[in-house]
Amino acid sequence: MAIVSMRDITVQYGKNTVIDGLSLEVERGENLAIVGPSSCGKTTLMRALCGFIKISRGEIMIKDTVVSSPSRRIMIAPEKRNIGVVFQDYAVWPHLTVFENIVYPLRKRKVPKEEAKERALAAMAQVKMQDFAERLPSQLSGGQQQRVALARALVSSSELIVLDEPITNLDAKLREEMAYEIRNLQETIGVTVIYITHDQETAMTISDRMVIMDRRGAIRQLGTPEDIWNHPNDRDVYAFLGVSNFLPVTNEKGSLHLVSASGKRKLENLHVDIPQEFGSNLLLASRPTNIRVSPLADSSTGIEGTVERVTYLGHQFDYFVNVGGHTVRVQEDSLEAFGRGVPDEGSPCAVEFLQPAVYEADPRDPRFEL
Amino acid sequence: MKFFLTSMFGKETSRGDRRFGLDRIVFLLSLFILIVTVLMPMLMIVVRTFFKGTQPDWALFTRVVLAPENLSAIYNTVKIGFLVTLFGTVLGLFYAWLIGRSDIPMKGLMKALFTIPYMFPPFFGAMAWSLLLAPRSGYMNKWFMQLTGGTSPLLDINSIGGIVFVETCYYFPFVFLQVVSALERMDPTLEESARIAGAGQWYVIRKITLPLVLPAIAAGAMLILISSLSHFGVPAILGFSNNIFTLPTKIYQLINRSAGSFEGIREGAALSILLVGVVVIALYIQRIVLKTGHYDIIKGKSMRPMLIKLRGAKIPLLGISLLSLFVIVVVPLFMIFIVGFLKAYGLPLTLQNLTLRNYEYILGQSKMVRDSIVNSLFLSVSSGVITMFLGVMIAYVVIKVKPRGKGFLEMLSLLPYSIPGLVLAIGVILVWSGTFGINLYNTIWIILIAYIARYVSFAMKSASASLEQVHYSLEEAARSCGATHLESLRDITIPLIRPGMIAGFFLIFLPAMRELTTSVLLYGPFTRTLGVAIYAINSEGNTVQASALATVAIGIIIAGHFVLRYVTRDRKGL
Amino acid sequence: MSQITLKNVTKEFVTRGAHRVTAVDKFNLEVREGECFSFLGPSGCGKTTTLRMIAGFEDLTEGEIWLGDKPVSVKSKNLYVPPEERGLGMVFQAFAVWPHLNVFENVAFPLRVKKTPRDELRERVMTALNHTDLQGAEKAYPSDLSGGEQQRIALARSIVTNPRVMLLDEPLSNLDPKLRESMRFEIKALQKKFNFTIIFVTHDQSEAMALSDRMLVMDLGKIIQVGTPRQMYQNPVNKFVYGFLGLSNFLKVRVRDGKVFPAEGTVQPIPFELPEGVSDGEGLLASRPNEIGLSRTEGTGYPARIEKRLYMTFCIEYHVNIAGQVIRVHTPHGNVLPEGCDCFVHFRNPRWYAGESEQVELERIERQVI
Repeated sequence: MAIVSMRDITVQYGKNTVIDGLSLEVERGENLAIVGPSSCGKTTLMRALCGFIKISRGEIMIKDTVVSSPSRRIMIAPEKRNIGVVFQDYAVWPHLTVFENIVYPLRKRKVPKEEAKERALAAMAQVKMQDFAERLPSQLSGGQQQRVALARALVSSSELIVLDEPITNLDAKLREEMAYEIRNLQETIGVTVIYITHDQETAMTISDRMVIMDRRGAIRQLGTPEDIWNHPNDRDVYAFLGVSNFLPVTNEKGSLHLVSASGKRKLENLHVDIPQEFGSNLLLASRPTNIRVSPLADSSTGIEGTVERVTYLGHQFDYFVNVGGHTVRVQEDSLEAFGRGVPDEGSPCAVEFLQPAVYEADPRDPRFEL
Repeated sequence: MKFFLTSMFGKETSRGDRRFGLDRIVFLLSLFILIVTVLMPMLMIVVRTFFKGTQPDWALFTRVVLAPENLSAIYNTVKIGFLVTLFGTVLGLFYAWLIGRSDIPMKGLMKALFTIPYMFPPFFGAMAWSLLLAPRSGYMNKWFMQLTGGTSPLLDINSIGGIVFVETCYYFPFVFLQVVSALERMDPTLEESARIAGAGQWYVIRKITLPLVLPAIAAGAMLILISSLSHFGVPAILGFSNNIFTLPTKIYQLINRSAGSFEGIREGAALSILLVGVVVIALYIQRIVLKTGHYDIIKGKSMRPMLIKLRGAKIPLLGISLLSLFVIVVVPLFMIFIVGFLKAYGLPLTLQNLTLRNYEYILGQSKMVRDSIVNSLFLSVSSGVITMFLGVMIAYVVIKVKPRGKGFLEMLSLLPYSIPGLVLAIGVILVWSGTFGINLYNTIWIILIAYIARYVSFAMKSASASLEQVHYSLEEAARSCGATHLESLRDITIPLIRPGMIAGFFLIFLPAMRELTTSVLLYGPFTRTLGVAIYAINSEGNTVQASALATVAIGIIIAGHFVLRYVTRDRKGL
Repeated sequence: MSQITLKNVTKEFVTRGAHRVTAVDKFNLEVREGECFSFLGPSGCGKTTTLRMIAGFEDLTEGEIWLGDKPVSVKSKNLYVPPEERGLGMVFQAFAVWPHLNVFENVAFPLRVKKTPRDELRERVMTALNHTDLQGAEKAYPSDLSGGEQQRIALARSIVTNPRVMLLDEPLSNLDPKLRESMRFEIKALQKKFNFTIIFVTHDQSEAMALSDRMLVMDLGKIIQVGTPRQMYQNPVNKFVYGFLGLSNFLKVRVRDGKVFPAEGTVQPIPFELPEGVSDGEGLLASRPNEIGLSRTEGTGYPARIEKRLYMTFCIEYHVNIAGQVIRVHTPHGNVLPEGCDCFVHFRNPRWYAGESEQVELERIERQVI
């Protein structure tokens, strides 16, 4: 059953429509990531949910209560919505100790002192900050401040917490730790977590479901990370997740031909379904890890290209391969590369696309006019 | 009315109803207070100058402006302002660079000493140097005349040169502090990259450092210029005897001579408009100078800048700095201190000529003096408290609420910054002497109102700085934890700005205690301030008593600064 | 011949709390002409301090620095050549372009200092601008340009005097990831064209590996290992270097009778040939997540259980419980194993290391704050 229900909501800043007719339901107990590029409206969405900004149309419900509804003139104040929030800059109050920060929501809800103290201490233990109760935020590192913010949010609401890009400012190692801690907490307490970020890598690893938003504030896809990765709705979602290559190809009676300056070249051995309704100008989408580069002599399948750049990154090799005038990025595991032989820069090669997808091309794509 | 309010607040804010009401009240209250204390006096000055009753009257303005004695006052004002700014900037720049970029020793001590002139009113300096260099009676001149056996003094302090000298000594810290701060905040890699590119130390200063601190220099220089143009005390003490007038002292003379007659005040108002005009032109020039530039120099990582090695020049420069500090800071304070203990002015400075009689008189017997101390304490404390709250309200409205009228509110609050104190006083007289039914002339309340107007800009800037550090997410976090808007203000915002507010209070209390320029036009027989009392006693010729009272004032100021230091010491929090 | 030589270079200083810290400890290095050489290490390891000593911004406590055959810093002789006379080019982390000068004047500055005649100056500046793709932007001011463009101004300015040696202090950390990659290639291309020697300081190992001909890893002021990227990655000399150069698993193991067992005393040994001279006791078995095979077929490896499966954009990540310890395994998308199932783990390229004391890690953290 849905704990949050947003129906057809529109948010405007002055003359700008930031979000237009968006609908979303969040299931109880799930970890939902809302992902999108910066200023796509995801933070606005979160602020509307928490009650910091008004929506101009639509309705927001939390559990069974309508909290925002312009048509019914309902706008429940943030302090009455019972949502725990972790802000992007943590917003830990500098003049209060760690304990005072965490116990604050309980004081506001008029919980009796002894009980409040117990609950606050329990929350601190959950985020492993119990030894820091009397410290001030200025004496804590970024990661520790964030844990205080997390404990405070959990104390504030055991049902729903929202995290706004909370780990972007941490270094890689800390980011991983925090991501797993959030995940753990959610699984132990059963709280619903809404997680706002532009980092789709993190979102994929910690969420049950993901919402992909685009620059205009619209939802492009909603599903599990596995679903979205394996079946992206459209070209933009495909491009948004990780690195991708898009080659201009034309569809000639079921076989695909690469568009290049020297004319069209047929792509052999491609295992891909082309939907009936697609036009003739298409894009062949591929991931760097699903492309095989071999010496030209060794391969009968695969299209001819030139290896332009070889970069060694330790665990992998990055190749930039020129295929018919277009640059394709390829990644190969270094152990395998040394086993098969690392290509030389400038050497001719054969390129095979192992798990490609096709999408319709933009009608004004200049690459088709070569 | 409702439409007006909704149009102001309707779309911009988006909070619940209760907050809507609170914000509205605060905005209107701030607007009302500012209009009454700041805008109306200014308008009255313009109205009274150019209108006689309800008839437009240009004759008065033209007559006053073109009178030869007024023209000479204008000329003196501009000349002195220009020279003080020039010398003050050079001096301030030199020392700022010495302390901010060289390896001269004793930096901490010098930095502390250089900020001392900042603490005292320049007219104390005028008094002190007068004790030394008054043409016939000054101690240094007397000693010199004895030495040479002649009748011409070494230096005559009662001259334009004397005025320039004293004002420079007290105003150069404006540039010094601004530039030192800019140098400390500047990204050192900006200079390092120039060194790597082949530039030697001096080339880097010329082509990189100096242009980048230009905004700080300009800001400091502008402060010096405006302060000098509006200043009353030094030209009053040093200029009257030789008939040297500046606009502020001329205005004072006009109003005093007229003994409160309406015509006299109108003439004073006319000259005030002129004075404001000069200040506005100066501000405009500054804006043009600063417009042609791109200045983002604040650094991220904290690295220490490379210090220039002075090598051979170190000792001589140290000597010069200490000597000038001695002259600027120690000598005047010492003179005032010691003369306060003299039996009579002019007596040689020997132990047998010292007495405590002066202190007994001013603190024990003179009711006027005791009253003035009480008056100043009352005025400083109340204006400090009132303007701080006012400043916080205005800053809150401008920064957090952001209604549609905020530009106007902000402008009103910053207006007094560039209006000379004397001009403000005249405006206040025009408004509160019965024109609108209330007559506060000669009471302490009229001075209080003038102080509030005078200091609201400081309060607003100080409160803004504090409030801007309270990021809105801190308040929203409180809201999401269950706090109402009012509770989040009480629990979060106010505790966080409290240290800033206390510091701001002292930043108003201290100048208000020693203030002269504004109260000199507003005081009545029972409402003298400490500054007026010292000035008046000095003008009557009771030099030793004036010095004693000045020493008492200095004591209060120093005590106040220690309290300020204690209160703003680095504790927990931001 | 050696372009840059450091002999026993040491730098000590006293912190605000009056501790004596050895930031750089007996640093010995010879950098060859035309090399691209990286200093890699965590924050606080001393790499930037070393660079600044080469540039002349810091004095030495001990030792000598030579540029070619000229000594520039010799502590024992109190010899110190100021930065402006060392003939180096340098690019700083925060770009350090002068905001009050336009692009042309920024780049022209080093030539104006030398009083280069007008026509020659103009030609050389335009050449530098062309090489850094800034042609047309001469009249713009830095504040009008993006971070990447500002970095290029800094680059152009540093090459306009044709220095033999270029020092780069974390020049790419303030750029976003995509820009970082393209700037890397630009720097490499410039080096090829002008053939100068580069010393490149960074904390990002992929950057160091991608760019360098040779590199070193520093820790707590000392050089731990020097070599080519491939040498370093394939043969890290200790646990720290191994962990720093890429994602790693460190399985706690115990050696008994020449056989390796997971720490918690199980019966079955891990098939691994110990290096010579390792006696019974505790240690670590290091492995890369992408060099581990997973299968469900009996007999293909050590028994383990899959605890979690996460979708990442470039692989699938498994958290595998092997005898009570959890390791990370990366496999390509495609062959998907369910969570909770039993599996067999095969280490394709494991290495043995002795453990590291806790104190060392604590000191590393302390140095970050100094």
